[in-house]
Amino acid sequence: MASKFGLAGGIPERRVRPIWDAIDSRQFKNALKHSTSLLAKCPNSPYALALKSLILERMGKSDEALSVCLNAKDLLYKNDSLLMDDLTLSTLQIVFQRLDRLDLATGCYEYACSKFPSNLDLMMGLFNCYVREYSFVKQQQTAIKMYKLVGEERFLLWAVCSIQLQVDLDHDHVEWLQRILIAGSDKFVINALLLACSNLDCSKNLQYAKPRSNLLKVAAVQQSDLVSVELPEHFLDVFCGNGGEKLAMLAEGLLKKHVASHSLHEPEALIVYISILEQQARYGDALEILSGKLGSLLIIEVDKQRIQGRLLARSGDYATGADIYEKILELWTAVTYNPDDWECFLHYLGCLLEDGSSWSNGVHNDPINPQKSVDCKVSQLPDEVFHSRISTSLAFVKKLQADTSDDFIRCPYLAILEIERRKQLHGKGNDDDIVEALMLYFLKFGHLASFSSDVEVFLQVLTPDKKTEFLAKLMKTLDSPATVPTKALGQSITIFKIQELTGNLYKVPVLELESCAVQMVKMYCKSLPLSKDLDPQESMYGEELLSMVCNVLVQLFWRTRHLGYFIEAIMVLEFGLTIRRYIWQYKILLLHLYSHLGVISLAYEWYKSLDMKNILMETVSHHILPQMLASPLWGDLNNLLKDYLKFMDDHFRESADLTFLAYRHRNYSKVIEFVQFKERLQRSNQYLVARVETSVLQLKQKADNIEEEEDVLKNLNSGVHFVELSNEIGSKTLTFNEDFHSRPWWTPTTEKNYLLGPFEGLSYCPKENLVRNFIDLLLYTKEREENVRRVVEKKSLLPRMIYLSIHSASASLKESVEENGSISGSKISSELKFLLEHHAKMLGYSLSDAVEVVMGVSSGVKSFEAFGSDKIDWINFAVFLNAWNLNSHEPLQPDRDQCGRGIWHVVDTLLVKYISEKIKSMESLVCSPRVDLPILVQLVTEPLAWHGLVIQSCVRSSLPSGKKKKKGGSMDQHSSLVLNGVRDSIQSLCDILKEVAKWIRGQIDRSEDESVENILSSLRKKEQDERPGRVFHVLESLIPSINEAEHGGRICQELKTWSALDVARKIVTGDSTLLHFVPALGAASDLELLPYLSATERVEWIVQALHRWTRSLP
Amino acid sequence: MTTIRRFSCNDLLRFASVNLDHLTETFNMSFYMTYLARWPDYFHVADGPGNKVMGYIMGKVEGQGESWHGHVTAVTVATEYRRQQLAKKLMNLLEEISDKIDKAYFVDLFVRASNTPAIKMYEKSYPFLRIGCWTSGPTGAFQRNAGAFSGRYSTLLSSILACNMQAVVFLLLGYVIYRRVLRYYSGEEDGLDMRKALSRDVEKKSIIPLKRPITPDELEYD
Repeated sequence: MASKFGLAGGIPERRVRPIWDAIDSRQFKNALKHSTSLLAKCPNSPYALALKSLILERMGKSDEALSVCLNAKDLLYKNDSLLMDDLTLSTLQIVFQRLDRLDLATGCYEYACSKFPSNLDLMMGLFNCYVREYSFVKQQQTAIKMYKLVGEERFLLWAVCSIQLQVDLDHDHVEWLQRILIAGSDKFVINALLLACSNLDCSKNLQYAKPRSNLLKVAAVQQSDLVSVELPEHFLDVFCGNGGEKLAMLAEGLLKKHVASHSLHEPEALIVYISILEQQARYGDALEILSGKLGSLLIIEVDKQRIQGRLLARSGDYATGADIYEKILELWTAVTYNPDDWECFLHYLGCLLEDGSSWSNGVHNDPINPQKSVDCKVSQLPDEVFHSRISTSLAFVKKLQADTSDDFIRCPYLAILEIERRKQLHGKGNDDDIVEALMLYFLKFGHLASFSSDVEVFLQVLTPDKKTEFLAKLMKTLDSPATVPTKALGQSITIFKIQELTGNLYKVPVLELESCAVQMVKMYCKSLPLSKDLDPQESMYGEELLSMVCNVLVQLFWRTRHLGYFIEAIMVLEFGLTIRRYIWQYKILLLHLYSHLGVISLAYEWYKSLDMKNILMETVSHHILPQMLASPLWGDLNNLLKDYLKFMDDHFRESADLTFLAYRHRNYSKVIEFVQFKERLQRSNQYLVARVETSVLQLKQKADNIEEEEDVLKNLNSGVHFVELSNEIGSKTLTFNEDFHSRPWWTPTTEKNYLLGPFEGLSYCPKENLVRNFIDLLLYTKEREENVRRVVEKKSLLPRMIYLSIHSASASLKESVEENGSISGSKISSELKFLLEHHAKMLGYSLSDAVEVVMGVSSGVKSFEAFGSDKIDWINFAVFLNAWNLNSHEPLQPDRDQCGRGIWHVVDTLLVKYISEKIKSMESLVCSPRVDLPILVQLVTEPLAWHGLVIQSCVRSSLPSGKKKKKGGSMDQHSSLVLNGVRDSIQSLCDILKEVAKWIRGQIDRSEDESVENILSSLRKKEQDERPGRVFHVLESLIPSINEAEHGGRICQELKTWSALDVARKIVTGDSTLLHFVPALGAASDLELLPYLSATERVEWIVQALHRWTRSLP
Repeated sequence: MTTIRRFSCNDLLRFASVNLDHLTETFNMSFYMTYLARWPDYFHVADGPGNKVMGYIMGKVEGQGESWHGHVTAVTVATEYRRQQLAKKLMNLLEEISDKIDKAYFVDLFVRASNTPAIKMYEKSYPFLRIGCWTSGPTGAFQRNAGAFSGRYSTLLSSILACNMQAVVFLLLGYVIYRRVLRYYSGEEDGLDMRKALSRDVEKKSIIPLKRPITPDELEYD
């Protein structure tokens, strides 16, 4: 801060200090007082003004802050004699940045630098401005100027990083420009390119202009004066050639020259130098540099060796590469454990077998979901050579085994399995050898929790018979268990896990499977005393068993459809959490069980207890977000979305400053990483979905009041931005950052839930493996991407369609819409028709065909199945179609009635029929999970609500406004037909809502005790029949035998609080809590009372409102 | 089976299974990125077979003159990979970097001073000690869950019963209790400032314990 208190713009420190002190202690009023008196003395000081604007901004007075800030800027520009110091500029910069006007801040620094071209502080400030704007070309130019000025290595590297960033540009921009260049007219292309250069710094993309280069070259030069941007220095160079290559050469040239005159002094600079050479496949040159004087910059020898190994392998010198990796693996000291370095071993083996797969930085290798095993090629080596190399590797691995005494070094043992796998890939393998190697590995490490995930990829290469053989051998080891109890327990758990992994559990009959679960839960009970003295924060022995029991019970439910098994799974996990409440694995399973049961409020409770925050919201919220989007828990959903978007937006805001921090600390590789990471998050599919859904949620929440809905729409710019988003999304490459590894087997992705379909047996097993190989991964990602695009595309049309529907409805009763003064009835009609066509296209139909489908389903000619999986979208379509039809002079269908009443009827029928269908399908909770509840909620809160808005709009427009009278004749006839439609529609909504209310009342009125009893009785097994309850019985009978001496005080204490009755009651209460939310749909104003009313009261209230409207109609 | 390499931003998208643990703090982005931008050599992740994240360590180097030192901010290991000495390996790596690259005088860390009754049990029942998740700093937390240390230290334990488990674990890694910081944790609980001298501190001056406890205000660094 010392510099801050120097002379700033000529103001002595003592005058400024009280202002900063007040700002720092958040006493803004006080700060403003000091600032006013300072300005009285120095009215023309830009710094004093900058301080005032800073205070105003902190007080939330953005407009005033901007105006004062602009004054300060003008003063700086006008008066050359004023001191243009970094302190004033950086203060202005802070304010401009907080006001989202980075351009103004950059402008100030640009001006200052043009006035004082040799002031390094100002140039660094300018560089920082360009970093904030992701303006890589300008960063590069500024860094080069600084480098020329002082010759420091760091500025050269700043320039090189800026070049690197241009090379690594976002694919999105490349794709976008490709599209423009293919489709656009020449003038358009030029403008797009200029825009790209000025705003996006996409100079790399200019390479795609090559086919038109001559024309563009001329046009660019001719037009450059028309556009107020300066062409980047190498605009035309890049224009005509391969930009990426040229840029890499430019970066290399700069470094080479500097090295010749000054050498390099920072290890990070060397790393950047090598990576630039590597990018150009100049491995030999890179190796030479590394083994020369510069190599000594890498102090830790192994770091250097790893790079050497990689370069050698990539250059094809496998023999030397293998030697290097061998050396690395042999390094074993008190603090270095290289024999355990699995990746290094894979590289070693890759070199020996002359297979470079593990170094190819394939574009498809997702850094977030990397492949589980090396996707190696079938070796091209002649058999003899192959055998000899395999023998070499085996001998080396044995030597490593002998040399390392540590019991925790697993690599040399697992290496045997990898060698066997490679042999098999070469066609020389032997399943027996693999089984033997697996057994040896089990005997050494079978007690470790990581055993099954260690060997997962090796099990996959075995035939089903061999898997069974391996399992049988494992079972045999149980005859002579390990003497240490924890070790014996670990081995037993491993065997269960292997059974799960090989799919064995999906083959056995139901009773046997149930016995297996009983065995697991007995083992859990038996192992409890082992944990008697552990701290509650500490993982207990055998904790995994209950997760596995849950998995088996859910499978039993899937196979038998006995809900009791499902409830039993819940009980088991709740029991486990009673003993130790921190087990996140149980919580995730439970939240999915409750979600499937339709008790989303309990699912959300468990989600909250996981305390997901910051980056985990991006990777882990998939567990709850999709369910919440379809739930009526709007308050919770709103918090979920708000927190997530805040986290992401905060990151986007601060990311550039952190990037600059990396520049300042000379960690150049992090600079590139930070920029790429921000891009990755910005293209997150979840982020996109959350943005759209937040707006849809606001619309749902306010749909009961047309005026409030109109306010929401106004804030959403009448939905225009979202239509743009919908148009743009096709060209966006989305990223998928969700971590699906923690999802349960029955719902391995957000789109899949096996429990909704019939038992598929082994067809799904072993556990769905999303990343088995990259072809699967690619296909899966592509499929998800398409899916998300479709959803977002459709959803983002919603706000605009709602807006247009409201206006279309009122325009049908008035001649034109005067609101906002711009949009006329015919414009509404044509735009809405265009969007309907778009919507129909997304459903796979032309507009007229889609109308046919809707009519067909409504009239009963077709079933709802004709809508496929997009039923809500179809009903939405019908709602908007009706709204359009009200104000359209085009006949909807030839030979159909022309007044629109027919479509009113279609919408009403669709809503009534589908809602009734859903109500009927949902019997009581204890009979089946309530999977239809979210659909009912969606129906009522989306299409029905939008339809309610159309009705509200009609009602409002029909009320006498005192303005001009409507024209007589046909208009009056039209109006009365519309109003008839409204009346009928209201009646039909009333009827169906009453039906919903009746159903809800039926659910709520059921005695709580009766529901609880139903749940508990589903667990009580009677004699020998095939019914759930055996597992639960084991846990229940454990309670009386619990004693302090054996199980420890804590476990005893916790178990005293266990009550299955409480859990059952929680489920019932959670379920009815949810039902209270369902009819939060309103259809009239003045709804403040709603939250305080019961579900049925609400519905009744809404029905009354609807009746009132009917009465108010002319 | 561990490949220890520098932590990268993408690892933030992969570490959920480690951070879901209730005692592993998930910091905000600027915290992680400040560490990455300033001390990338002190932020390492351990990958297991199948490219799974096993655990990670975060730290920094700071100070002036003879207090130039490495600092451990957090160490954490996923449940699946505990009891395999991973935390120890990560600590050793940080110490080596402080020693060889940055030529620091010592490495330090802060632990809660609260005593736990678990020590006797560990001494009796386990051939090794465990460390799972541990985060330094006033908001930090600790869990003695994983990683494993050889039984050869068990006799040492009886002489250090006065310390808490976290302190015990670090004592076994060669750290000494340098001083007590009064009410360091949220103004309530005392912290122990533990240190291990590096080769540059030939006379081991940095680890001569202070006799009197200090207050957080007297701390030179955060």
